[in-house]
Amino acid sequence: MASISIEEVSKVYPNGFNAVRDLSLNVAEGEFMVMVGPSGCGKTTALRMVAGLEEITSGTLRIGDRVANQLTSKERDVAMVFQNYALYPHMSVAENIAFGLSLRKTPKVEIKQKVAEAAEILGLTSLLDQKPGLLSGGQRQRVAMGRAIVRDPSIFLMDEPLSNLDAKLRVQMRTEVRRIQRRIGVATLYVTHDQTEAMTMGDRVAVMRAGVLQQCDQPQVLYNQPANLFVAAFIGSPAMNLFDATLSEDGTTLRLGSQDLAMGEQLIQLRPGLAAYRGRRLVVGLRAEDLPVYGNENAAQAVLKAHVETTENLGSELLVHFSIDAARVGGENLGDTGELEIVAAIDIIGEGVARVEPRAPVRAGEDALFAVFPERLHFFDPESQIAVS
Amino acid sequence: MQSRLSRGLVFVVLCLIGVTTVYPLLFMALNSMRSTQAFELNPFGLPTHLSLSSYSALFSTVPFFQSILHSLFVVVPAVILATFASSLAAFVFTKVPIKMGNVLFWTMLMIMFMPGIVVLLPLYVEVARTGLSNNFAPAILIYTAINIPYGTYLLRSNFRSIPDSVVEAARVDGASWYKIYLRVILPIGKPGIITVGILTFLNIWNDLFISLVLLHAPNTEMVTPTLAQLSGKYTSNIPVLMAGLLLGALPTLILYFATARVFIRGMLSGAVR
Repeated sequence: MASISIEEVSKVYPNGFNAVRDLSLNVAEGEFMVMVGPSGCGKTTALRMVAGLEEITSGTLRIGDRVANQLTSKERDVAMVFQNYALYPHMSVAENIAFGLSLRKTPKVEIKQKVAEAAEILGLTSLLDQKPGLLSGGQRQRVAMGRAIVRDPSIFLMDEPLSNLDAKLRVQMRTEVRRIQRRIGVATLYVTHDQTEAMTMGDRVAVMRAGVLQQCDQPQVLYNQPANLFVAAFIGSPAMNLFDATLSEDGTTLRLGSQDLAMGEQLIQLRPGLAAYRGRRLVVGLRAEDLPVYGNENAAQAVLKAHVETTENLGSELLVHFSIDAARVGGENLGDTGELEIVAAIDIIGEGVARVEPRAPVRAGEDALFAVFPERLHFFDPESQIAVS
Repeated sequence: MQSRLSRGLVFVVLCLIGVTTVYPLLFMALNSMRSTQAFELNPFGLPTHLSLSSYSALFSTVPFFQSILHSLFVVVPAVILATFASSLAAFVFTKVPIKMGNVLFWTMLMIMFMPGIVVLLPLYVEVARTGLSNNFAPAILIYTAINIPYGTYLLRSNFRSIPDSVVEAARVDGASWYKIYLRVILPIGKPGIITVGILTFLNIWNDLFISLVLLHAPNTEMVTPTLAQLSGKYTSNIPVLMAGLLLGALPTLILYFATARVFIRGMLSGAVR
């Protein structure tokens, strides 16, 4: 067992592409760290550098106490689960799991015992003689896990191991993977593009964008206190509603399109940083669940009036898709490029989502009033995109 | 209706291809069992009575079995060496990150595109001057070298269909490059490697030019030059020649039938996936 310490690590490919820039990240012993970001954000490259499959251009990688930059994968003693599982097609399940051990000249009796143990943990005992070609996706995934855990590696690396599974199995395997990781207690670096997976699995989550680490913290912290616009927009489903807004000169009123939301003195008291934005534009963020329907139970000082476009009743909650006349901030293709831009259409219609009580009196095509609470708002600088607190 | 017609057409075309493939073999087999006179009267006639006299004539005029042995002496080691070397090279070109890998590969490919006849004269001069003619060992090495580029070319595209992640998984599992080659690439690439082996076998077994240059003494002569002696400028005993050709082709036919399934799999792999 060991910790992983990534210190200012960069990767520049021969063609000049800078895939990872000055990444610093620590994974403690036994910790489950999830790296998340849109495709092409450098998370897989970072993982492959830790695995020893990709050279490190600059910076230091430590596994345990050892500097690992120049070590081979074998010397690093890592185990890795690949996105496509990468099982050896000509070997049986048992041989696949045993391969790493047999390379290390482990005695045959011990190999047999360890393979049996791993198969037991993963429920593969009846499949040990099968070839991978005959297995289902979920079974292959478990063989890949087995191959990794059987060696008692110092660290555990996973590259989108669940992305090839169907939705139901993926949810099931999330808990499974976490259960196994807790059981073996090895520092784990897990890469995914799925923020739900990141939030549900990680002890901590590192959000990457264009090769740069944006924020690394516990899921709840990422959700409640996103460090910048990108994290705010990327983490959470439905995504945070982000609108272009202006703070009044006295700092008590927020202008959102044609509406003035009276926030009171409280606003700047809660976030002293906002004082610098008096009379200036900024980006305001509202989580869907922080927009309850205005009424007796939710009597707030400020009320947002919005036009309800459609509603989705999920049984336990109602998703209200609304529009207001403020410019929406967000990337149209956030998932692909990680680019964020202020969408300022000529006829400004900002779309948003609210998550309300299933029995709330909201109907598509009508206007609805939502309560807005100053303490639940998020603010970002429109230029630097950094959170204002 | 349309599909039945087109299927019928395909059937006819396939039959024609089948006949043109099998006919020469049949021609050789039938005529090797006719007398010279009967053949000269009607080359396309069927044998009226079967005689094996051509075979005994073949064995008495040329050292046939000896030449088959000579061929095997050369072909078997050359095939093993060339296939092994090609598979190693293809493995490195596809899976091992090396500097200038592509430059090396294209240089090698350039050699493959050079017509064999071009090297014949320099080869003859070299072999004659160094006194290495009529010697099996240099012949084996030369045949090996000549066949490496083609084998590497075929196996490179074949190995490309093996996912890189399987090789990476083996690296993470702790395998050296050598172990990866031995325990991952060889077993997965077996159909392709066997195919290259068979093609190399055919190449060398059927070669006439180079073997004429390298091994021309009676005590080293391979089967193709030996059979060539049966066809004179003015006189040729066709049934005897047919008997020789049929027997000479027998090893390749046996090899094909023994490995047909793997061979076809190897030829198709990469194309289908």
